[in-house]
Amino acid sequence: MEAVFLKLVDLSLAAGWLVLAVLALRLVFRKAPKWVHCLLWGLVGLRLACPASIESPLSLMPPAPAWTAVPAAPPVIQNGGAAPGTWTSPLLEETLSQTTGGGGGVSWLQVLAWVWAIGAAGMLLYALASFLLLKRRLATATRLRGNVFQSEGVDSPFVLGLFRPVIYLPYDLAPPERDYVLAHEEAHIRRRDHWWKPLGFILLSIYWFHPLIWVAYCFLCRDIEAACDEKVVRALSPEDRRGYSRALLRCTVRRFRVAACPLAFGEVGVKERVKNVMNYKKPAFWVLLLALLGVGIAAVCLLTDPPVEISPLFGVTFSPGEVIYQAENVPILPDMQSIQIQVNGVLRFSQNWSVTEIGTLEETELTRRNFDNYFPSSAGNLPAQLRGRTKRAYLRIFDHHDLGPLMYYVLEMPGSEKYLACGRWDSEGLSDPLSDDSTFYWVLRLESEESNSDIPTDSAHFAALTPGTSYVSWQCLYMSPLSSQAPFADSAFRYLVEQDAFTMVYRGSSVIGGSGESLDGRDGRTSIPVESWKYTDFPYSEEEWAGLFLIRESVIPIQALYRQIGYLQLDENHFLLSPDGALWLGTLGRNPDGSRFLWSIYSLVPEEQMGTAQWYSTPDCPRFCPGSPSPSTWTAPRSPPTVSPASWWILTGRASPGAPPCGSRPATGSIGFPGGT
Amino acid sequence: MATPKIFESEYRFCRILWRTEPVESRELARLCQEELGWRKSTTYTVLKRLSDRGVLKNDHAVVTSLVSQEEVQVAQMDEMMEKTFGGSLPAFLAAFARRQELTQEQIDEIQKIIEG
Repeated sequence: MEAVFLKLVDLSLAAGWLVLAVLALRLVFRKAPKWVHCLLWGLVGLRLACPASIESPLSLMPPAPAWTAVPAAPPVIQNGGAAPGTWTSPLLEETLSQTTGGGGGVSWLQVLAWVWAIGAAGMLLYALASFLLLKRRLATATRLRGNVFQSEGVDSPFVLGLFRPVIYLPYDLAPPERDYVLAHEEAHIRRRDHWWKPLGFILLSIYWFHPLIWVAYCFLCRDIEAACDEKVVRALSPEDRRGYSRALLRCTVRRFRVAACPLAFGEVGVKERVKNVMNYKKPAFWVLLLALLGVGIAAVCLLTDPPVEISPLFGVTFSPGEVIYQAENVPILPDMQSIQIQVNGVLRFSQNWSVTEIGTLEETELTRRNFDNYFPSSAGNLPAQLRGRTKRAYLRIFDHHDLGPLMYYVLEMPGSEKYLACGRWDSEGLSDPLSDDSTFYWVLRLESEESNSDIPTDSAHFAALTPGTSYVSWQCLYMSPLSSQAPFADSAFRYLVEQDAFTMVYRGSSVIGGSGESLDGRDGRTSIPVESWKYTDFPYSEEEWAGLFLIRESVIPIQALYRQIGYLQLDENHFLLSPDGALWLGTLGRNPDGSRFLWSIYSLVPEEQMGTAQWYSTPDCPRFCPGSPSPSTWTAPRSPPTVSPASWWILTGRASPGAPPCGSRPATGSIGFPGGT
Repeated sequence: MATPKIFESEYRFCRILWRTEPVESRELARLCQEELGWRKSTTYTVLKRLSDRGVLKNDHAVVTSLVSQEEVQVAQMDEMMEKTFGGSLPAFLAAFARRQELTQEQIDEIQKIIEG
């Protein structure tokens, strides 16, 4: 309910502006027919009734304030194992924690949400009760004709009922006045006002906390009556108008309460209405046109929201750069392979095949208190310097499974300089600055990954598939646990990219890792016809892709690790992938129910670049992995693929170029190899 | 004994009763539904109310009136005379000005707009 309430506050704030705009437009269009005003209120209603809004650059609405930001879905931790963060927007959290004041675990937000719910229910009940009471009072009303009834329980004529609207008149209303009144009420029914007005009241009940919505409702009632008068008067002679006005005056009843149901004849502002009736002139065509145009423009500008401004930081993947500050004995090292800030502001790290989602970054203001004080005095003027140059700062608190709450600051400096700072977060700190125990562990520079500014969209970014090239496997990235084969780095095949085919040639059972079976039993050679060596978009969603893996722990989070993934379907069981320039071969198996699962993924290298390299066993690796070709031959191939640190890791089995060879790779690299038997 | 007070809708009902009495209450309910647009339960409620006030009597589902149409009309006429102020417009306007909380000034103003 709190979320609903916050959403409503959000909507009502936007609608509040719209009400002000409509009030101004009413002034501009005061010469226009009154139904144009009703149309304008319709816009307000639409805005209030629709939780979703359309973004438009033409929007004149002010951007929504940040404090109503509702925390998104809890962060999904794919492999990091950390507990999902339970933090909401820090600012909101702060506001609420300041105002809670030991309220026994009930937050102000909850209290406000309840107050709102009770108020809304109260108003709807009031409407229902007054409707039922009125209905009872009108039970003895006697039929005059058709749907026109008379009753002594009626002071002034009105329409009641949603589906079979009935006009109720007092007994003492006689022709000719009665005829004018009836004309008015029938016009109401034809205009469907007996629907619009209750609809308005329902919206008012929901948004009762917003004074401008009350103003809007009062004006709506007024404009409905005025529009209805116009509809009747349009066909009347001047003498009839006089009669109509007399009837209006006669039926005037002051109402102090906001009438929920009935559309009364003489409800509001008799004088103004009489004036309007007496002075009514058929509006000129151009006035009408102009007014409609105005409503159209208002709809475009006011019903839509301005596009959310996306920070240049968002939608970019960074690699860790220089660590400019590190405290002593930090429990968490800046050892991520890449740092990604998604378009929606979600911060995620990838580290050894696993992706840890930190959560949505919220813009924050850096102060001495929430930044400088978190450094020890030994840091000198570094914090002040950093803060001074920061153009924009973002913060996300992340509940680490072992270390407790961690704070992650992303600092955006002028130019392309960016920093990531991590430290322990003391949740008590905000309310009690003296005992604030928050401390920064490290600050590191974020390096934009190469070519992220202009990601090439042509296939040049993908591994080149030049006909005539032969490939061999370099690493087994994944092998289904159902396989009886050990996940050897060498698949024992040679892969030929031909003009119109992809051919897999079995290299013989003597090859280490070979299964000893020949494919299809025919001279160990299988050709898959290929029409075009063109990559297409990666066809799987993250979920679908993960579903292809039999064990959740072994999912390769390919979408999170690579920016561009080329996909080339060979046949129903084989496909090529080119994640950020690398080349992988995937094989699919078929479950008994016809669904597919992933059998294996091998990374491929051109055979000539493999050279005389061997696939051999290393003591640290629980499998065979290729001997490392010297970095110089691999980092400068004929068509150099752009290799992100993550894919470098895949290709080389090393953390980054220059690191020790595969044999000493930390054991954490074993993800993705469930270990076939 | 003074003629009991009868509201307008009840008067409409009584007109049917005077026309048809003595009449079975079921038949009365049918007629009221047809001519007044009343639900059956409304008719029975009104029957009970008027019988309490001594306007009619309901004896074993047969309804007869205790007051004649003339008596009621005379009583209503007296009431009308009290209400109509001899038909003079200012008095009439003053009457509903009291009801609607418009000042005499405001009414005059509006009158001017209409007649002007």
